Amino acid sequence: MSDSRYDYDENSETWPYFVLTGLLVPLIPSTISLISNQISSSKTKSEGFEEVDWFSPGNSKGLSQYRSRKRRSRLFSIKFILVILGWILVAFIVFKIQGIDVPVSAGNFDPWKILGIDERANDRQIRTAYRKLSLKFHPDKVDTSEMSPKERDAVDSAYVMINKAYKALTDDAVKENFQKYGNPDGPGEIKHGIALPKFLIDGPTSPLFVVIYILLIAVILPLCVGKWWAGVKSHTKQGIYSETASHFLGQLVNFDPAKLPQVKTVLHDVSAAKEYEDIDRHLTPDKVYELLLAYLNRTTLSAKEEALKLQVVAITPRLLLAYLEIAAAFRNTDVCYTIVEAHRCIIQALNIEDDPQAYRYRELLQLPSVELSKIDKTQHTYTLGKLLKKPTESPEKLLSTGSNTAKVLDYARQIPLIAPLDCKFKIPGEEHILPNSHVHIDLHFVVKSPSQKSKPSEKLLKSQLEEPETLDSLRDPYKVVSDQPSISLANLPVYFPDDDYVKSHCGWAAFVLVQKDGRLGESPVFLSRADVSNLQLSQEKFLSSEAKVSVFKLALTAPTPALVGDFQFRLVLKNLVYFGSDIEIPLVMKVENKPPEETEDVYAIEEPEEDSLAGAMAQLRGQKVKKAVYSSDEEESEDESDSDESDWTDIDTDTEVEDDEEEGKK
Amino acid sequence: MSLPISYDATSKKVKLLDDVKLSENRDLESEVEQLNTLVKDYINTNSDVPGLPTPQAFTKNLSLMVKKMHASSTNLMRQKKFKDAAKQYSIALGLALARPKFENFQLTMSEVVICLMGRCDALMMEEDWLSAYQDAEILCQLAAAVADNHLRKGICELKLGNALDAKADFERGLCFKPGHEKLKEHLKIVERVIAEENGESPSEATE
Repeated sequence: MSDSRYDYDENSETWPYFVLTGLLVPLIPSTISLISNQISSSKTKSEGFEEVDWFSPGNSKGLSQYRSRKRRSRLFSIKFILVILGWILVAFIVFKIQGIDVPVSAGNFDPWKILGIDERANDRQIRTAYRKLSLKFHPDKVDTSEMSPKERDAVDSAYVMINKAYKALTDDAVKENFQKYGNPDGPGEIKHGIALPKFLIDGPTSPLFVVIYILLIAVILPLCVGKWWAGVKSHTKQGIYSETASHFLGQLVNFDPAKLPQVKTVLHDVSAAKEYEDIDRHLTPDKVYELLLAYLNRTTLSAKEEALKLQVVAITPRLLLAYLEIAAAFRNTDVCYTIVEAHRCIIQALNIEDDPQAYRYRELLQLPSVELSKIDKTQHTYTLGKLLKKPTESPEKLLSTGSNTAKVLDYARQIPLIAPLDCKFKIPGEEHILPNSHVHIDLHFVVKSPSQKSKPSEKLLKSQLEEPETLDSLRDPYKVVSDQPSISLANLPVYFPDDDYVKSHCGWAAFVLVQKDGRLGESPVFLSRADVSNLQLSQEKFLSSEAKVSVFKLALTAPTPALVGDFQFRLVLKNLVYFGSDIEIPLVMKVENKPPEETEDVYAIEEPEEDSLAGAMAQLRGQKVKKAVYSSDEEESEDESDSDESDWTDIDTDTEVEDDEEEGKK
Repeated sequence: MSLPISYDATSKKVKLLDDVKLSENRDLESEVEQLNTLVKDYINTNSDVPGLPTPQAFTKNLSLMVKKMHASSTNLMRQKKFKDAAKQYSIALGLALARPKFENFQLTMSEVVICLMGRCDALMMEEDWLSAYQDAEILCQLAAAVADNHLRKGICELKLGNALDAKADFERGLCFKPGHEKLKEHLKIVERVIAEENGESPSEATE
């Protein structure tokens, strides 16, 4: 090694450039992502999602602490610090590079500088500059008699340089050499070197350098890759620990159909998730469950417990959604519904199970400052619609919210509901639903406020309902959906700590149920894009053509059945944030096998019918005949359901009569 | 690992040990119970290997008894003695469920469904909506394709105050029998109730 066969970067000419490149390659993308994150987060803040400032919930102190800590941690994350450090280093290196004095050599031949002209100078300017300089430095013109030999040499070399520079800019051959190699004399010798200062390799520090090198290759690199791989393995696609996922799986595999799934059982299942241990290693599932219940009951704990409670609550909805996805794979409708219910309960901090009244009044209780004990229960007002449109008593008396009543009502008015206009199965580019094809559910709806009556008629919105089938829409039928703005709520829920979560999860979960067995037909899809501007319209404008129609499309992963017939489904939309905003739509998939329509030849002679005399003759001749039309048996499918009763007709209960009586009672 | 159970040779039953907490061993208890039932039925068959559960080989007496019981309770229904009818139906249901476990299950199913239908109707006439709802719920799972079951469940839901669920039930019933007049009527009623609950005028809602 001591044998200097290589040139080292003694003057620090090159290595700072290498280091600078190495720094900038990761630094620039991470800076861009950091800035764009900040911008997008501040942007969503500006559209809706206002905090309720006129009511402070019991846990407001803890909430504000949690939020400010989160904001701080977002701003001063490890990534942020690394990026800042990186830029400081870049600045230092750039400063160092500027200080480098690159010695002039043949490699730094600059003809323009020598001639003292601008790089954009034209031929004429070059020529005049050359003439002037050559007049000045020509050996014959300069009086060298009184000069020292050194000065004489300098003048000679200056003249040579001027000549070279002129040729480099005018003579084609020389010019090519200069452009190719940076030197008018053609390629010079090629030097190989190491872009590191010599002291690192040949000095006393060289063992250290070797050790660092070995560490990097043999220890740090495998460690990083190993850690990354372990991270990939330890997390599922939904971003939860695989231990948590397998726990959820176990719960569902051992699901006892005799037990009614409840919000509390769901929360109990979730509380064993490993994610909670990341908050505090000493958190046991029982403790988590206890904290969640305390949150649902809106009880305030000691300051330390309160902080812990909010951290636990903040990650719970994410776990619930992961649980939902696993439960959906089991097609278990009840568990899925309960998980969504639990999700809402967590967002609204509402316990709807212990007290039947709380369940009854859940729509009103989700409004800030409304309390169960203060609601006037003599009035049968349970829904937001009734509260806003036809209250049997003034809302102030009903809710006992005092001076805040107007604000409470305004909050209620901004809760989005869905009024479906048109819902059907659709295959892009086809009129009918064909067997064995990919189909999606096409739902057109208007978002409406609970204070708005009825819904605009479909005739008025016809232009918005019709989707022109262009080439683009056929290529990507879901583009219409993704072009819509994402849903923004006017107000943030009061009790839930994590604002960012609510902002990204404030839509509906859509389930497709098979009517035959009442189970899920597809895993849930989230409706997160819709035009919510209708909420601001007045009643008259809402019923006019000004109402905006939104579209939701749900692709079925399974192809349509191979058999022709009617298949019944149900589309269920459940809001993830608010109570009272769910809808169910029955749907029929009419699978038809219609061949492409042939243009009929009007003038052709029809083939004779099979059972006519002409038909018989034609058959004898071996010609085609039309099949005779017999009336088909329509009742066939209908009686299927009653078949298991047929054995019992003699003793069957007379339900018809009872139902008539039932009717009479009403 | 040994389980906290013991075997009693005289009664030929497995028992949970006395010092075991019941609350911690619910699952074990139910499994022991199932085991005992199976063993009892097995001993009663009086053969080393129980006969094949073909649809023809079943205890005809039991079916006859269930049928009789069902007929008498239907009579009670005609006389509008709904409380007694509900009790009779429960007995018939118990009989149907007591069918030996090594016999064909198909018959049990249809007997249970018929008895449940009767009891559900009796309970509804008795206006015991909660119990009727429970029966209707099971009926909707056992015989989902029978539209009347959804009508039963929907009416109970409506009476219990869950108009939205009732609507879903009626709609589900209608998709199995589109022309069902009762279901259509009830669907209209429930739509009116929902509209009223939401403060909309009924005429607008039916549009």
